[in-house]
Order: sequence, then structure tokens, then C-alpha cells
Amino acid sequence: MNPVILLTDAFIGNGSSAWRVPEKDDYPEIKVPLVSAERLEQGWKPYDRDNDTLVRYWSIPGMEKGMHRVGGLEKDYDTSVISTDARNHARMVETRREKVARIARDIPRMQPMFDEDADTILLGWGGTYGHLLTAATELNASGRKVAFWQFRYINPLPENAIEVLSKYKRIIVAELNTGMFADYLQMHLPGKEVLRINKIEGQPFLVSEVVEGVISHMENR
Amino acid sequence: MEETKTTGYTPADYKNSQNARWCPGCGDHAILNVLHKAMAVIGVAPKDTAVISGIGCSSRLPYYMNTYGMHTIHGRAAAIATGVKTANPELTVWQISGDGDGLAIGGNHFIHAVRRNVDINMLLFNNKIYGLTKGQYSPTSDRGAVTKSSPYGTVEDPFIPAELCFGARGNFFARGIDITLDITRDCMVAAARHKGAAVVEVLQNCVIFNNGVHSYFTDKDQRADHTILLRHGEKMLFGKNMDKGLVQDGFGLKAVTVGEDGYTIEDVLVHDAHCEQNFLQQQLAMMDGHELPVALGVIRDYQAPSYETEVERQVAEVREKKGFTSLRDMILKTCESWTIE
Repeated sequence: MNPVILLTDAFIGNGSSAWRVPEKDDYPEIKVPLVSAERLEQGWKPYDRDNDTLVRYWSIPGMEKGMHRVGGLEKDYDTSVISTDARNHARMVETRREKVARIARDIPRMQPMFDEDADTILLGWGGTYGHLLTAATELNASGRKVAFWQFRYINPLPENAIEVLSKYKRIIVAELNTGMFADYLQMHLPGKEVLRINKIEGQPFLVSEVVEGVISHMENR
Repeated sequence: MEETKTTGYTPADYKNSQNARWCPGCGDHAILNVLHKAMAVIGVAPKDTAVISGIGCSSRLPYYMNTYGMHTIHGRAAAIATGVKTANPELTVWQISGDGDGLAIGGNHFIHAVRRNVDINMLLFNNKIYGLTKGQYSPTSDRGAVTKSSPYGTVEDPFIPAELCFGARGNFFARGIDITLDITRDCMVAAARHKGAAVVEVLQNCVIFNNGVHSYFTDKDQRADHTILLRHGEKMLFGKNMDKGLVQDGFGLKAVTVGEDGYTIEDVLVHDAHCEQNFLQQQLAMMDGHELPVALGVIRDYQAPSYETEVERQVAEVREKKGFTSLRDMILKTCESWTIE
């Protein structure tokens, strides 16, 4: 069970747009990994994991034979009881890290827009989408080849993200802070310099600011 | 292991094989045993029981139960227990906190769980110290207590847990001592049977960091004269010979010896735990074992609407009235929409 942190912002919340009312079955079913009755019979332990995803099975109060205790203390990898063993802790930390990393298999792959022949890519994340998309559209319409991708998943990144980014000569991250996502990508791209367009005025980007920022990076200003 | 004839459960059904990692002599061992016994009497299946704790020595308890359990974060047991009970009112939910966890960082959640009257059984282990972190003073430590974080004595008054509970409009308050096994068991059973937030304060001895803090009334030779077991409908009597009684004294209480100074058994008050008006119950709960004996047993037990029941009822009512059967249905009926041809 991983906590999911959903980042949203007031700019989206206070904005408005047309929304297509969903048909009954539009939304995919949310399937939780409830432990099966068979598995409970066979002797399930709370820290048993699915081999592929490393996800634990859920047993919820009311399920016969599913009683267990969870909590902040470290548990033994095999027996699921409290463990203070040092090596077990290292193993559990690694397992949890790997479990989060494998989520990348289930999230959409990165597919940059305006990709043909561009050696510059403009990146953003979250509520800046509309402004960055418009900026990229204008840049391409004026003859400057700039690919564009808005990240929706930060940790883990899409499986192919670093591979795709490595192809570009020039990577520019436009974000409304001092460059945190740029720093994070920089960590994964040691050979490249991740360029930035930052604004920290508590106000959204202006399309013109983003266009000007990309142009000045492209002209090495 | 005693078989509970009416419920078919024994204390062993609620125990697991984990060794309790409390200090030898810790009061928590006794309380754990009593809780197993109480659950056998109450007779709710382990699979329908959830034990939720915060952080502290007290809060290790869920790991020693054969029920569902969650060891949560500091002070938040009541918040999570409220969520558990509201999400599934069929469960019997126990909340385990200490005086630090429950009344310091957890103080806010405590008062709201009590105010909301969520049907959870809130056990408060009060040893007047932070034990797990090795001896800092807590919100229930006495004024002047010398501890690791108050080397020259505290300069503040403590909470009285009972008073805080009453202040939050609590409908159930009971008190036991870690060593008065039967009384504590009965308090727990009564708490489980009470529909609503039920606070049971268990006065517990931390043998390492605050040894003997309750001794002046819990020691074998002190108990009879310095504690009083209250039972609904019965006279408030205590003492080795049960010849001391509580009588009204203006707006307060006084301890007298029956047959002396003109006091007869008629003057001795009868305990009414079910009274809606909590003034007298609060007075009883505040007795501190010095001039007046510490009250044990069920002090207040008043029926009022419980939160999760009301939530369930309201959801059913609104669903019935509004009659939506799908998200799309609800959106189209309540929002402006247009069709694209």
C-alpha cells in the first residue's frame, strides 16, 4: 500500500472548462489486491507479496482468518512479525523501493508532441499545461522546432522518460518554483544540463514569458 | 483458561504468540491480560475486532492481539479509529492511547472523538509520564513532578482525563487500575456494551520511569480507604469495612463514617451512572485519593446518538430521497449541461 500524493493547484481549481459527462462505464474499475479466500485458507501472511509487483495483499477487518496487525514498526520479510534485525530492515527498505519503481510499468509512457526533428524539448508538470502547450504551438508555428511534454507522474517517472530525454540536445523545464523538477531530472541525466524557465511570483506563466524563455535558451543567451 | 459459557470465546482466542516487549513489572502486561478476558466476555469475533493505537508503550498493545490491529502515528489513534468505525460500523473498535499520546499531541482528536460520540472503546493508560521515550513529563504529570524534561519540577497543572472527557460532553467514563483486574475488566465490558464513545482510564504503573506514582491509593494497604468502587444503583460506600460513605456537602461531596456524627446510611448517596446531568458524576470522577477516594468503576454511562449510526442513517435517507442510481444520473439532474450533436 503506497501513499499517493496528488498535486493540484488553485489555478486549476479556480478555473473552468467544459467537461464531458462520463457514460456509465467510462471510468476503469479500481481493483484492490484483496487476499483471496483460498490464500487465507493456505496460510497467508500480511507481508506476502505478489511476485511481479511486490504489492501486498489486503485483508480487511471482517475477513475470516485475515486478522493481522500493521503499523510503523519494521516487520520480518518472511514471517511478517515485528523485527529489529538490521539486515532484514535493509532488505525491507530495498523491497519497498523496488515496489515503487515497478509502478513505472503501469503508467503511460512518455510521448513528446511536436517531436519530428526537434533537438529542443520543453517540459512542465501539473497546472502549467495550457500555457506551455500554447507556447510550444506558437514556437513551432513560427518555425522553431520544439518538442513538448507535460509530466503527470513524478515518482516514478514514466519508464521510457530518461531514455527519451537523453536524445535531446537541449532540455528546458518551465516551472513555477525555483527549479525543483529540473533538479530532479538533472539527477537522472548526469551528462546533460537541464535548462530552466522559473517564475515564483504566485502568478501563472504568461505564454509570452515561456516563448521568450525558450528562444533565449535556444539562442544561448 | 476459563470458558465463557455464553459467548463461546476464551481469552486465548484474542491472544497471539508474540512476546510482549514491555518491562518486567510493567502494568501493561496486566491490562493486556484483562483485555483478553474482557473480549471473551463481550464475545465479538476476533475478525470483527479492530484495535487501533497511537505511539508509546501502551500503543504496542495491538501487536499482542489476535484481532485486526493498527499501530498508527503519535496522537492519531482516535482519528483513525473514527474512520474505521464510520467506514464499517459492524466492527467493534478499540482505541489504545497513553496519557502523552492521547492527551498531548492527541488531545484534539480525543475531544472530538468524545464529542462526536463515535462508538469506539477508548482505553487511556495513564502512568503520568512519557515512558517509551524514557521519562519526560506528560499532560497528566502532577505540578512539581521532577522528570527528565522538568529537572526542577513542572510549573504547570495537569489535565484530569475525566474532566477533559466531561468537558468534551462525554457520555461514558470509567476508571480502573492495572492491578484491579476484575474492576478493569468490568469497565472494559461496560465500555464495549455502551453505544458511543466510551473512555476507560486505566491507572497504570510505569515501573522504570515513574514507579509508584499511584501508590498512595493503589497499594494494598491504601486501597480500601483511598478508592471507592461505584456501581450504578448502589450506595457510595468504601473502606475496609465498607462503613465510609459519600454524602452531599453543599454543592460538593464529603466522606463520612456511617453511624458517626449523626450520619446514617440514608445520607449516603446512591450512584446514578445513567443520569443525563453530569455534574455529580464529574465531581465523583475528580476525587483524587487525598481527601476523597479515587472513584473506580463505571462513573458515567449515558445513551446518546452515536456518530457512525447517524452517518449511516443520513446516507440512507438522502439516497432514498434523491433516488440517483448512477454518477451520470446525478450530474445530469444537478448540473447545467448541454448536448453536442
